[in-house]
Amino acid sequence: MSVKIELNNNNICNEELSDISDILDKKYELSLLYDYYGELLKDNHRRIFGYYVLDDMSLGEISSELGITRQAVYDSIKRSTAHLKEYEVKLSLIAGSRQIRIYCNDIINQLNDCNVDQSVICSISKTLSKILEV
Amino acid sequence: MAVKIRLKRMGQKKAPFYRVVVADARAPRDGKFIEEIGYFDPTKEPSVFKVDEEKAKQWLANGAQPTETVNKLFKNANIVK
Repeated sequence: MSVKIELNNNNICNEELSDISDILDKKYELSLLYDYYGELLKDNHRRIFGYYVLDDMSLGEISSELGITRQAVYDSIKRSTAHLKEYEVKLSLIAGSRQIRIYCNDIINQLNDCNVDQSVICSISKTLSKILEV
Repeated sequence: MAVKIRLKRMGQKKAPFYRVVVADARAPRDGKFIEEIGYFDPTKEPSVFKVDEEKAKQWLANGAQPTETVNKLFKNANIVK
């Protein structure tokens, strides 16, 4: 994933930063997994995973919040991640919706290339956005 | 009062969007934050990370602790060394 960094002094750099990408990719992937399959985790694992991906809490913070050891938090997150990844391997909901997004963009691009009325394109793209939200 | 700089997940389900916020370390879950100093949008291609450099530096100078994720982001944006 390439990351575009903008600073307020208009110093914009658009670089492939492997380190930053790794961290953000990881958080992003985990939060997507949580969105799609989080409900399938057991309550306490889901709570810990939620703290970790939604609130960006450290393992130490989670452990003191819940009164359990840091090791227990680490194990829980590791186990939950493995479960969620397994669901994605079997069900491919995230990969599927990515593919749908690509096709939807294709449709819009093709319409833009043809001589189609803008209002029609607008209404089709609204419908496509609804499909993506499902 | 211990203050932290962390990412706060926003956005719709399945369409994550993060704010970089300054918040009280003791209340990470209640959603309150002191100030928003930037955002990270991974749904764009390429992903966009935007932060107010001056405010970030000011908060860091005042002793705000960035989370591990935010710290690495700041490092890559040359806000911290």
